[in-house]
Amino acid sequence: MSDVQDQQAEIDSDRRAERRLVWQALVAIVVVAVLVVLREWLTR
Amino acid sequence: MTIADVAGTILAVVLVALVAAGAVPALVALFHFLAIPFHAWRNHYGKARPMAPRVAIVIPAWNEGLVIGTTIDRLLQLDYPKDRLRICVVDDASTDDTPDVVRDRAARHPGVVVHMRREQGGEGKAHTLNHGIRMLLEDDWMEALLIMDADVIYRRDSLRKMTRHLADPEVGAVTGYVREGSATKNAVTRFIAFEYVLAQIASRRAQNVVGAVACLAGGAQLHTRENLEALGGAIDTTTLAEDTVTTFETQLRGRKVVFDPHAVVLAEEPPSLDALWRQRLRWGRGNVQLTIRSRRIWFRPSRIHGLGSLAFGLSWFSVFLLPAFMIGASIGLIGLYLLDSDLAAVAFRSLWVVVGCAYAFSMIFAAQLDAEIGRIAWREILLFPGIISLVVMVVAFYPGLDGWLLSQVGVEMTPTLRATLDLASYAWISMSMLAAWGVRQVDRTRARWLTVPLLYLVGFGPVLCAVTFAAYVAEARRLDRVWEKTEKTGRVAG
Repeated sequence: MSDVQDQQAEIDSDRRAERRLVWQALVAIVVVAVLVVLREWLTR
Repeated sequence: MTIADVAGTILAVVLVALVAAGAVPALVALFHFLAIPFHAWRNHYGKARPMAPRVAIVIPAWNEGLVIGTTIDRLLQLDYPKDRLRICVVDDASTDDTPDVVRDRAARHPGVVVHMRREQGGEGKAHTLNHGIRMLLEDDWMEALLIMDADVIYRRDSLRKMTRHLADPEVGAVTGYVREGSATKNAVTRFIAFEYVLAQIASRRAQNVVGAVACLAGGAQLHTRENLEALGGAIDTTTLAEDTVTTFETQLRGRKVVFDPHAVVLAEEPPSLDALWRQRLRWGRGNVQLTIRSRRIWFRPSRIHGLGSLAFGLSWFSVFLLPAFMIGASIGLIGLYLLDSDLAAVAFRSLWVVVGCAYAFSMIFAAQLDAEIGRIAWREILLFPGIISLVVMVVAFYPGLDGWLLSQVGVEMTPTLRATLDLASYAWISMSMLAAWGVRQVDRTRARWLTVPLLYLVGFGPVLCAVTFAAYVAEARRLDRVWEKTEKTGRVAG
C-alpha cells in the first residue's frame, strides 16, 4: 500500500476500529453486573 | 470512655484505613480501564496523515547472530520507500557472527544497511544506542529515528502506521504495540503475552486519553529529529530505565508521545521465570530510580505536559506501590482480626468485592482487545492472580461457599478451621509475593519442572509484585547497576 489515498483510508479504518472499544467495555460491564446480581441472589 | 478504648478505636480506624488503601490500586485500575473506551473519540488519528520521513533505524546488537539476520531481512520488507530508510546496526563489540551477518546484508543492500562497529563494548544498551545516534546526527539525512531491539520483528505496515502521527508537529515520539511473538509459546510467554495486552493495548490507550504516556516501548520508539536534538542527541545512561526516561523527557519538553495500537511489532520474550525475573528486576530498579528522579513532577499539574496530572500520578503510584498496598492490607486485616474478627471479616469481604469487580472487568475487557492472545492464553487470563488468590476472591465474593464446599466432602467448618482459613486468607495477600519469590527460586534448581504448576497456583500477578518489591530492596541496598542482556533464540512467529 503506497498510494496516499489508500493510506488515508487506512487511518480512517483504524480510527473507526477504535469504536469497538465501547462495545467491548459494555460486554465486560454486563458480565460483572451478572456476577454481582448472582452474588446478591446467592447471599440473600 | 477510657484511654484504652480511645486507643483501640484509633487503632481500628488505622487498620481499616490500611485495608481500604488495599483497594486503591484496584479502583485506579478500574478508572484506567473505564477511560479506554474514550479512545474511540480521544485518539490521535484525526491529526495523522500519510507521511514518509527519512527514517534511520538504529539497532543495538551485542552477540545477536541468531536473530539479527532475520530482523534486517524483515525490515527490508517494510512497506516503506527504500530510499527513505536506513538500517543501522550498532554492533557492540560482538564476539559471535553478528558482524559477519550484518556486513553480508550491508554488502547486498549498500546505503540501506549500515554496520557500525564499537570496538570497546559492554557498557549497555543506552551507550550502544548513543554511539549510533551520534553518528546519525552528523549529517542531515535523518528526519526521524526508530529505536528497536535486535530481536523485534516488524510487520510490513508497522513503521508506516507510526510515521503517520509525525504529521502533527506537536508530536515528539510514537510507539507501537510490542506483542509477545515467540513461535513456541509456554506458560511463561503466554502470561507475558496477556500482560502486554494489559500494559500496552489497554493501558497505553488509557494513557493516550489522559494525555500522558508512561513508556515508549524499547522495541518500537520513533522520534522526530527535533525531539532527539532537544533531548541532547543522546539517550539517558544514568538509570536502568532509559526508555521511560526518554518518554518523560520528551513530554516534559512539551512534545506529545503517541501510542498507536495498530502498529504491531513482535518480540521474543523470556521463556523462563528466572530470565523474566532478571529482566523485570532491571526494569523495576529503573522505575525506582525514575520515580525518585521525577519527584518534582508528581501530582503537580502543568500546562506543558500531563505527567503531573492526578490521573497519571495515581496510575503510576498504584502500580509502583502495589507491594506496599498489599502488605498494608494484610497487616490491617490481621490486626483487625485480633481486635474484632467480625469487623475483619466485613473489611476482607468489602476489599475483595471491590478488587474482584475491578479484576473481572479489566480481564474480560482486556481479553477482547487482542482476540488471538485471548484465545491462546485463556488459561493464563483466568489464572493471572493464581489459583489460590482466585479461590480467596470467589469465597470472599460468595460468603459461605467455602463452608458449603467443605461440607460436600464431609469436612465440618469448626471455629478453629474458620479462624485458620480467615487468617491464611488475610496473610496470603502479601505472602503471595513471598511464594512468587519461592517459585522463582524453584526455577533456578533441577526441580524447575515444578515451576509451571506452582506459577499457576501462586499467579503471575504476585510474581510482578514480588519483582517490584525486589527492585525496592536492590535499590535500597545500592546493588551494582549491571545491564544484563535477555537471551534470545530468534524463534519469532509471524
